[in-house]
Amino acid sequence: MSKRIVIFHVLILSFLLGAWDLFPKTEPQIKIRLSEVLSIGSLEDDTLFQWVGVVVDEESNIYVSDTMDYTIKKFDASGKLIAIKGRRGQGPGEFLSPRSLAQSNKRVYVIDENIPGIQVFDDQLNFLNRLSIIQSIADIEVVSPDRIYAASLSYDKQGVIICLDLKGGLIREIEFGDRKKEMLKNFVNFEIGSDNCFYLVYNFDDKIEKFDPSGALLWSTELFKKIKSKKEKIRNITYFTNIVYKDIALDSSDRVYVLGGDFSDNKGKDVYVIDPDGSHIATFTLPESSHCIYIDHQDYLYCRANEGVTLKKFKIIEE
Amino acid sequence: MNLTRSKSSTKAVSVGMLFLLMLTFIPVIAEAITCEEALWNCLNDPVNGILMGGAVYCFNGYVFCKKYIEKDTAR
Repeated sequence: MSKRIVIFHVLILSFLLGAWDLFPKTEPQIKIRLSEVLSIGSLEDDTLFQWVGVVVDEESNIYVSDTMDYTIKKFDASGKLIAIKGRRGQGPGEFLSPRSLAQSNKRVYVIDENIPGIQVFDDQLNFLNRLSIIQSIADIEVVSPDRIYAASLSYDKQGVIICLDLKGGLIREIEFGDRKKEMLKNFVNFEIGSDNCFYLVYNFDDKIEKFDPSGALLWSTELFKKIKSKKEKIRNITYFTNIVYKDIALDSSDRVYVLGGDFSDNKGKDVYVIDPDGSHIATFTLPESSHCIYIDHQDYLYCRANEGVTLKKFKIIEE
Repeated sequence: MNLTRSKSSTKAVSVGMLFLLMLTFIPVIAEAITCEEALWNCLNDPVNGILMGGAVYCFNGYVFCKKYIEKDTAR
C-alpha cells in the first residue's frame, strides 16, 4: 500500500514538473509596467455594457463597439462620450454583433459577426456605406485610405488576408495558413507594421508570424514549448478547447504585443513583447483579464476591465 | 497502532492533494463546457449543420466565447 502512495506522489510531482515545462522559457530582457491614465465606464453607470472592439484616431478620440447595446460609441481624449450610433437590426448603421473596428482618414470601419460586409462611418459616426463582402471577417486593418485588409473567415477562403479597395473590390490575397489543417487552426488576429509587414497570431496554434508586404514569411516563432491544444469532435468537425493567443498589437517601433490565452500563467492577462526580429524581450501582466489589446499612435495601451463594462487606457513604461 | 495512524495520515494527505488538484481544474472545466455546449448546439442546429458556412458561423461565435467569456482562473 505504501508503495502505491509513493508512486502516487511521484506521479503528481512528475505532473507538476511537466506542467512547469509549458511556461515560456525565454528570459525577458526588459521590464515593463503599466500606469493607468484613463478609465471609461464602470459598474455604476451605463456608459459601456460589453465593449468588444476599440480604435483610436490621430486626435486621440476613442471609438468603441458595444455589442450588448448594438452601438458604436465615440469618446474624446478625456473619455467624454461625444457620439453614439446604432441599434439592433441589419439595416444601414444597425448591428447584431458589432466586433472589430478600424479607422483611417476620418473613416471608421466596423465588422459585425453576424452580418457580412464592412460598414463605413464618418468620424462623427454618420453611416456612409456598406462594403459588400460575402465571407465573414475575423479582423480588419485599414492602413491607407484606399487599402482595407481583412482576415477572411469562409470555408473556401481559409488562411487568407484579403486586400480590398474602398468599394470592397478584391485587390489581392495574402496566404498565411494551411488549408489542410482544421478550420480553427487558421483563425488569426493581425496587425500591419510601419514597414507594411504583416504580423499574425494564431488563436489555436502556438505561432506568431511576420510576413513581408508581398506575403513572404520572414519569421515564425512560438512562446510555449510542447503545448498541445486539446482536440474534440462534434460530428465530423474538429475543434480545439484551448485558445493560445487572443490578440496582437504593435507599438510605433513595431514591437509586437501578444495577449496570451489558456497556456499563459495569467490567462487573458499576460502580454508578451516581441521585437520586430521575432525575439521575446519582455512579459508583463494586465490588471484584469481582457479579450483584446490595442495600442494607439502615441503608444498607449487599451484593454478591458470589469468583464467588458470598462475600457482602460495605460501608459507603457519601460524600466 | 502507530503504523496504522501513519498510514491513515498519509492517505489523508494524498486525498487532500487530489482534492486540491481537482479544485484547481474545476473552473477550467466549467468554463470550457459553457463555450463548447454553445458550439455543440450551434453545429447541431439543422440550419447551421447543412452548410460549411454554418460551421464558420458557429466557430466565429466559439472563438468570441473563448476570448471573451473566460474567467480569471489559473491553469
